Amino acid sequence: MKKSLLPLFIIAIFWHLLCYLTIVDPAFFPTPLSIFKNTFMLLSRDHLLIQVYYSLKRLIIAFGLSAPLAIVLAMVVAHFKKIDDFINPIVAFTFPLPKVALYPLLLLIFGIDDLSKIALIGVGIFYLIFINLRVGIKSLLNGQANDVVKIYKLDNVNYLWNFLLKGSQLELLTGLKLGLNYGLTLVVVSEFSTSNNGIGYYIWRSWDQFKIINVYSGILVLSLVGLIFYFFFNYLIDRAQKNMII
Amino acid sequence: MIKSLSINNISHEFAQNVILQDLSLEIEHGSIHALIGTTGAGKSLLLRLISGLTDLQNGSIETDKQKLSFVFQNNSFLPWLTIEKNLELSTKLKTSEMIMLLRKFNLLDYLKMYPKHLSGGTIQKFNLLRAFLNKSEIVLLDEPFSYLDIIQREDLYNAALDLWKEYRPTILMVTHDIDEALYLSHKISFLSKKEKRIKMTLSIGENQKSLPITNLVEERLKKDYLNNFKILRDLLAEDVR
Repeated sequence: MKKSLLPLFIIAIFWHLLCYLTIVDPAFFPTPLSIFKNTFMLLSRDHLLIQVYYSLKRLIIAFGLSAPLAIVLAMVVAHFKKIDDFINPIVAFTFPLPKVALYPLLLLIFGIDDLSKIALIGVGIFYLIFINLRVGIKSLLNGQANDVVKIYKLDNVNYLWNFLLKGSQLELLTGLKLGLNYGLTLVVVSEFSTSNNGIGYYIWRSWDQFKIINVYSGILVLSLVGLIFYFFFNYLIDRAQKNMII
Repeated sequence: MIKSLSINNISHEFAQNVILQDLSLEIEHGSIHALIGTTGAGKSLLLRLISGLTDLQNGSIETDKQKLSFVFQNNSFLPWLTIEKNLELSTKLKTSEMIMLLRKFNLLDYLKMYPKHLSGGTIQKFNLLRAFLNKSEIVLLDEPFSYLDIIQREDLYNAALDLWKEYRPTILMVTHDIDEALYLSHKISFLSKKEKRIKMTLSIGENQKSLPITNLVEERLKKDYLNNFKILRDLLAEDVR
């Protein structure tokens, strides 16, 4: 952690020097220190924190709807080949499409309010969880663990929880991590265009009003949110890996 | 002879490669039966067919699949669960009986550990224990001793025989180790890779066996040991020629 902060620190000093020597224009590239100060001020006085709340609310609702659906469906298709033969081509064909392109259609269907944003975020999250978990369960079912499970005839609850889900927990956690990260991207994109709150809206409005330093503060807050998710899931993945490796 | 396992005229192939052809074998109820053969003869395949892990292509197998357990060569515990949890998933025994057996085999201390933290010998002991604790009538052993050193083996052979005496299931064990087959079993069948079926079944005879084994050295000094060893060794040698 300390080691990984050092390169960032060096870049910040370099950046600061560029501003100090007026090689770059501080109006467009404010010094890192002033960005931190500004962010702190905005978080304590301005309504930046409430914007984070609006964005997180969208992300969490979309995640809460999408993740369980993706998990259940991945378990179903990994098990029933006929359903997999039907679902997988659909997923494979639609996965490469950048989901943002669907946003106008979703606006048309779900209206301009939160529902269309949640739908967009949820669709993006769904793919990453579904695809990762499906692969995980499939390899689990092809491995020797499945033979052991067949011989000792687990009951349904144990089979689903202790075998399928725990056995593919690394892939599941990876899916959740990637899904949440991509979800955050979609939150911002959806707020850029049609919103009057949220962190994406805040960044865009600051840009519109030419408060460049606030743009930077929005970006900083956003990366902190992303980092928290990132470290949280990495912690879970590390912990799972410790016991998983045979 | 009461049979608890009848294998009748089974044939099996993988991608037009015939592995077993018209193989028949009968296993006496409550006995320990070894299946010996060279690598690739289809010994493990036979166990998989008996247990239903691999679908039968031709022939028939008469046995009660519901009362069958399987001891794999390795990786037979789910690595993401503790040993205790692993045992809980499969055994239907009252805990008191389990604890008694665990104490007898000095395994109580390992319950809260994950499989990867245990040595090969310890994990295979748990593996055997689970198979017998399941009140199985048939226990299939797929070379469960092959990764262990001689002292660990001796220990594990005795554990297996102890458990067998306690529960008296029918054991069918696969091995490519002649000594192992001679130490443990009442009968030894030779699966020929060339003929793709059982070429010969050797009776070791109850009177020669003093189960459990006291020591592997003394076991080898017994009458007929060398003789039987030679028979099996020549069969194996001929099969790979």
